[in-house]
Amino acid sequence: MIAIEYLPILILIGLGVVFATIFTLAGILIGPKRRGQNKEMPFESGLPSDGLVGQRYDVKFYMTALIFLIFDVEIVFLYPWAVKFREMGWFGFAEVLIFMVLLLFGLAYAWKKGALEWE
Amino acid sequence: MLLTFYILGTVSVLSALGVLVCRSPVYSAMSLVCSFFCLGGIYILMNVEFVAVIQILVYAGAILVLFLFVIMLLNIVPTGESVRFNLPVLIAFGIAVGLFAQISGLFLGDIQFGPKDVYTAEAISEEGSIGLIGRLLYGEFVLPFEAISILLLVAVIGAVIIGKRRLN
Amino acid sequence: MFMLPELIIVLTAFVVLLLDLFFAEEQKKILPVLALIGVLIAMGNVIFWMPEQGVVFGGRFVFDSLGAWFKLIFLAASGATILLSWDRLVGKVSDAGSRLEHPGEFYSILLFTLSGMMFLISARDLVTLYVSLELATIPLFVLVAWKRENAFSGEAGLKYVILGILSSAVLIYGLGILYALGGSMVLEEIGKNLSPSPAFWLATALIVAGIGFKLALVPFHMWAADVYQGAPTPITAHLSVASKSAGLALMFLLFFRVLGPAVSEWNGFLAILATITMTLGNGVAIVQQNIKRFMAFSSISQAGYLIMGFIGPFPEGMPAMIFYLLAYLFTNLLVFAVIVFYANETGAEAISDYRGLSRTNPLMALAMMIGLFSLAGIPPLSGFVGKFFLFSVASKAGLHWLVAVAAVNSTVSLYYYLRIVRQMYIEPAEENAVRLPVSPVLASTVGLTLLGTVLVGILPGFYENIAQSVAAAEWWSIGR
Repeated sequence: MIAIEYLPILILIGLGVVFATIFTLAGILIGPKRRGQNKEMPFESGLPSDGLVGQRYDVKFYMTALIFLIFDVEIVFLYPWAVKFREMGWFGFAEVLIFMVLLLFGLAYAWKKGALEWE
Repeated sequence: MLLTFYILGTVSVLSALGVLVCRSPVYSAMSLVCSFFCLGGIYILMNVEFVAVIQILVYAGAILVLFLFVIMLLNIVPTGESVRFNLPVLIAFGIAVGLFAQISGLFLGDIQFGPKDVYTAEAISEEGSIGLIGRLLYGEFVLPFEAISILLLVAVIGAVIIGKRRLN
Repeated sequence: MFMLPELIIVLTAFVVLLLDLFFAEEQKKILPVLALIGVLIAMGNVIFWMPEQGVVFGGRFVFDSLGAWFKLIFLAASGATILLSWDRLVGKVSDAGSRLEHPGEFYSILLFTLSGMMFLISARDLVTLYVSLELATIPLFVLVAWKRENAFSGEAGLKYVILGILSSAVLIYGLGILYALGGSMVLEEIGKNLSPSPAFWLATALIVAGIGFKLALVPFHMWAADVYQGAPTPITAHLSVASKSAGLALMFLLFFRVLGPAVSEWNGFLAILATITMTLGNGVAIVQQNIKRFMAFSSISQAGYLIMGFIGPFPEGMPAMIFYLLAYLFTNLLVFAVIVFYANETGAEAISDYRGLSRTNPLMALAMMIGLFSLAGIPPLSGFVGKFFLFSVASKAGLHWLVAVAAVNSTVSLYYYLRIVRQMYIEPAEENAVRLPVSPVLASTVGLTLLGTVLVGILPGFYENIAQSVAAAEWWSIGR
């Protein structure tokens, strides 16, 4: 029952958290802080910043992310097939082939309609 | 073992609360990632590696990226307003608390589960959860499996239709 | 091969989508014809196999005559939606705002949701049931938001997505608890193993809420008006008929195959649900000004009548429910055909815009009036006959108060249906109103649905046929 083989991962995560915390805190606590009016000014006589830091992203990133997500979900369905590849034989191969062809159809559609282009 | 579960559970619940409490949507999304990772850990404790892999790969990986894209797309500015407790919110809150109490009461009390399916915890750990899911998915549940590919195709078409400015 | 109708539909959808990729704009006008041919062939197939029973995938997909009736209803409703949206997709409409783009994708997505509905009624295990339910609903989200440059359509799509997913989540939580209690994925096995317990009632409540959203039963109806108003009108027609039938199919499968054996008595609960649904739907419909919102509340109250078919000892209400569904299919589509016609030409959606329609287009006004009268239940139209059978189900079960409530509601509904008739017949037309041209496709749609509305009520044998199918269907060991 005990998933002992995952212990290294747990240790790794724990170490990651500990180290990240230590270094962040260390930077805050023992780093030298010299603030002054000149240090707060924009570098090399640039303009004082105005408005928000964040910029609106173009919707085309979203398009790509959505299509990525769909094929990501497809991969989920292929994992078990990879594990059972030999056992399933040609029947399993045919099933997955149909599955893949249907999805490749979707890829071809997106391609043909120019959804993959960066306009 | 139990300790790991409690740590993961607590962090998961706290970060889920963080999703609601954080003013900035980006922080909320990051709390959600944390919550998803903890859930993935809990799934591993339950010996369902496949669900854990999906949890990390699809939820923490892809869906959260999508959330972040939407947040950046809309560029929501944190307003600094706190949630107002008006009547609909209170009613919804009441229903949610009631449902939660009902469900937790049910599982804390003695719930009479029905006859066990053939896929018990022993059967799963014997074959491995991914292998068992594979056997079922490509064996008994072929029809839903192929239907899902149609569903994903519809998702591609829908995303292109709704998200794309000009179609070729 | 009892899955052939579904396969034909899926194949047609692929052919339409593939041809759309390679066709020029002018050639795309043939796509609705192709989609319609696919639906007709599948219909012929279902009718051909109707008397038989068949099992595919080791009992996970069952074809029986009762399911065949549902499939015919889904096919007819989708065929009518293809006809209704035809002019809009090929650009033969006067009102530019009514035009819809991308015919290939539109028809293939419509056919995919149709295939999901057809898989749904044949599903016999939880996974197939849930996946086919999603296949039936998720494409509808896209169709509702089809006119994305229109703010209403976008809002409708967003609302429908969020509430649809919420209801799916609620439903699958209930199904998950049922799996824990029943120890099997097969509906019939779960039904055998269930017994009333707190967990069982929690699952039932969650399932009722999930189904309530899909069927737009009060108090889970709040999405309906906005979604119906924002969606393109042919899709509104599709939602109010096909999607509602799919919701009933889901309710039928879960109530009778799974929950039924464990619940000894649900008449009172269903009667209350039917009462509040039809009363609220009617009450709110009275004050509506937009015809699509009006039809949304009208269809909510019709759903209240429809679930009366689940009352009484099983399966006595089923023939009445399917018969009423058939009558409702033709009647509602008839009304929507006229609404689509009017919107295509003028883009008008307010009820007051219909004034004087009897002067300019007398035949269309007559068709609309017959449709509205049938919805209200005026003899000898099919809506009356259907309501008669449904009310007698309730009265046989001893729920005389429900019959009285339903009858009062029918009377109230007559009042608000007459509001439209008054606009068409009594109010004078605008001075410069001219006769609006009727496209051949819409004229034949109105003709076909009008024929259905009248004939289903008059022709004997429909009800008996359905009753025979229900009696012949295999119920396994349902202990009610």
